[in-house]
Amino acid sequence: MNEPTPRTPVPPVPEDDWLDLWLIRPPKLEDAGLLDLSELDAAEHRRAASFIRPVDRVTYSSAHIGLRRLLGGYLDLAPQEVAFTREPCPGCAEPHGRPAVAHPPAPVHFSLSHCRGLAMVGVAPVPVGVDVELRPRPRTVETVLPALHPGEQEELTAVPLEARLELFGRVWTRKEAYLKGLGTGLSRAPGLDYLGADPSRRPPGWTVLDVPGGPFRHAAVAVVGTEPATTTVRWLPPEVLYADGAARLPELGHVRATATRTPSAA
Amino acid sequence: MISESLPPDWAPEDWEAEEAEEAEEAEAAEAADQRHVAEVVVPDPELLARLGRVERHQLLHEYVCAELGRVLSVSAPAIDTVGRSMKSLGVGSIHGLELQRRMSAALRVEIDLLLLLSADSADELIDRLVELLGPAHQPPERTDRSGPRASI
Repeated sequence: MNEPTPRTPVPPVPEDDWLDLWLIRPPKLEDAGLLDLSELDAAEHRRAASFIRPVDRVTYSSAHIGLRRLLGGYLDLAPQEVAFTREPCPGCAEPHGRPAVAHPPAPVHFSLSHCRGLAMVGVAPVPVGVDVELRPRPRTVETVLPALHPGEQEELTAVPLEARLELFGRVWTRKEAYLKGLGTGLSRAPGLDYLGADPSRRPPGWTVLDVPGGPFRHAAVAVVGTEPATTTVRWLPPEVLYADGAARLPELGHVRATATRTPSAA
Repeated sequence: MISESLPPDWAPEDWEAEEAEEAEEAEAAEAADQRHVAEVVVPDPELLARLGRVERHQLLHEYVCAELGRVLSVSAPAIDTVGRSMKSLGVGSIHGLELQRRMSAALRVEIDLLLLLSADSADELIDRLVELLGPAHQPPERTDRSGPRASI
């Protein structure tokens, strides 16, 4: 009989008004064999196997192992027991909206995103969206820029090329984090909503924050409501994704920043 | 801003080394993009409308593979058009939008972004283009509409 998979110990869930961000670093290709794939379900295995580029396969597997171990901790479940579903799409009500845990009533909402070398999981008591991207190439920015909100286009065309690549990365990750939080994804035209530099012009009812993603990477989170009272960002090294990684999470999950919102003056 | 609350030792120890590696990767990717863009031959939509289905499929297959190869920095013949979804090929949201805009403008036809991103294979996209660009298609006049406002 197999040993039961250890539960992932994570800090207890605060009362409310919080946001946890987990930045997961996949292993290098030569260490990919150390990933513990046993907790992934059949669909995740099929999807991982379908990637052509080994680096994409490692990134996907790492992201999903991390997601299961983290959510298992929040839900007090073994990672492989975490079941997923899709909420109804806000546009058409079909079941292809925001991913959610299928354990009603789930006490947490989550969002996952990954790119080469980085995955991010956002967890909150309210709807949340996250996005991570590699720095785009100049031709990509040139082609996509006209599809953005006019206010964003104006900001982007006002800066030189190098700065424009950086700025585009930030705008795009904010935009996609927001659309994922909404549940529409790119079924909502990317030019409709302003996610540029001026927070006062961004969509009401949401807080959108830039998250440092490392060299040549951009990351952002969007969460319903005002900025959470407590936002905690943690780096997770590849070791948390290995066979004994779940049990070592408290030791390996470096708490790097806890931002506490200052109450505004009346 | 989250970054304003980060302690000075926020960054993992190997970030500095990664910065140099990523800069090299970005340069290599840009160089590859320059090479691949020259390989993209856009078929004339008016010609496509006059061709038989088989010839139209062949031209569109070559074109879509060339565009995918450019975006993914691989050679066009390496693109698996049958057995891999667009996501499995590595086409994410930004690249999907880039592909949609480039192909829509080049072929003078509206390509649905979600169809492109969710396609179970590149062949599914190619088949859709074969239908869209058939004899019934009347491509709009090629406008002299300027490209993106930013000049690169």
